[in-house]
Amino acid sequence: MTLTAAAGASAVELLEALAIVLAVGVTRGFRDALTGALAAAIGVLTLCLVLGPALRAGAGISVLRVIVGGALLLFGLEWLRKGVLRVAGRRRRASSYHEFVEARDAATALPRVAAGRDWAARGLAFQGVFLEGLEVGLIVLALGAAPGHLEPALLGAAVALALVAGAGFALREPLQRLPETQIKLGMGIALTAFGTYFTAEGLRAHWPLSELAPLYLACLFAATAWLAVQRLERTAPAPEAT
Amino acid sequence: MIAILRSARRKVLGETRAIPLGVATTILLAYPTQSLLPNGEWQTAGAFALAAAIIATLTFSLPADIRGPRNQPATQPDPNTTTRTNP
Repeated sequence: MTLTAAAGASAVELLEALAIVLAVGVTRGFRDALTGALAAAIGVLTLCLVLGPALRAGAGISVLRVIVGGALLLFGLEWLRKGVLRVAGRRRRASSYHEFVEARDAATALPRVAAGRDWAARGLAFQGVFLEGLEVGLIVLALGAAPGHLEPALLGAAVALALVAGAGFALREPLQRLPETQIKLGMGIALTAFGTYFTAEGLRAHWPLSELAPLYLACLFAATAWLAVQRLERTAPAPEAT
Repeated sequence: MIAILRSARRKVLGETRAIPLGVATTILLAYPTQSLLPNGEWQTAGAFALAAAIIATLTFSLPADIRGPRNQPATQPDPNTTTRTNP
């Protein structure tokens, strides 16, 4: 389950990073887009390599679980909130294609360089990849910080990276077809379930059925999200087709 | 640089204050509750109390009309809301 959660959460964020790199690459040139993306990837990796061991060395197991759970809850609840709003028609649906279009427009608006290094394009690619990568890094760190979970979390992120890099060759049309709103809502549910599980364990509370707790917690949060969507749809103006 | 830091803060803490405040309050209140309850009570009920607090945090992070009476007009949509126009 850690592997699936890490792979799913990483994949949706990496897709957004890919959309930004593609947009900058298409409009300004792939060399500068990839340079910016590579610098951002190195930055995120360095940050994780510093933060990860410091976190593991500096805290006892209970405190570590609470920190990890708290971090997962921050990401999970935010994704869950946005997912509920999107499904209820209160917010624009998640779309890497839309991200692509926005980044392409931003890249087109940047001043052109006659020749040489395009620092504006590099900066745009760096910013996009750094921010999306930071989220991936923190989620993988949090999922992997629990004892015995590091390997599946890293493997999940690696699978996501391979899948998204592969999708990069197919481009645009698949980006438009992915049901990202539902995927993000599902990932929000999974991260919130893990976050609640780890936080309670860190606070020395016990879950019935122990290791199976994330599964029934995920069902509980899915039901809550469904109820919230129903409630918001009843109070919202009549939605149009998506 | 400031723009990157602002965006990073939004990425980590989210777009609302309700979620970071709710998570922090839940964890901070759990510690004294743990010691106040009789031995064993926290171990059996604490996990579900925590799950309930997380659901409350999610509810409070959503628009206010989710908690109000039915059929009241929708709240001001958030800036990212569209009237369902496809890209």
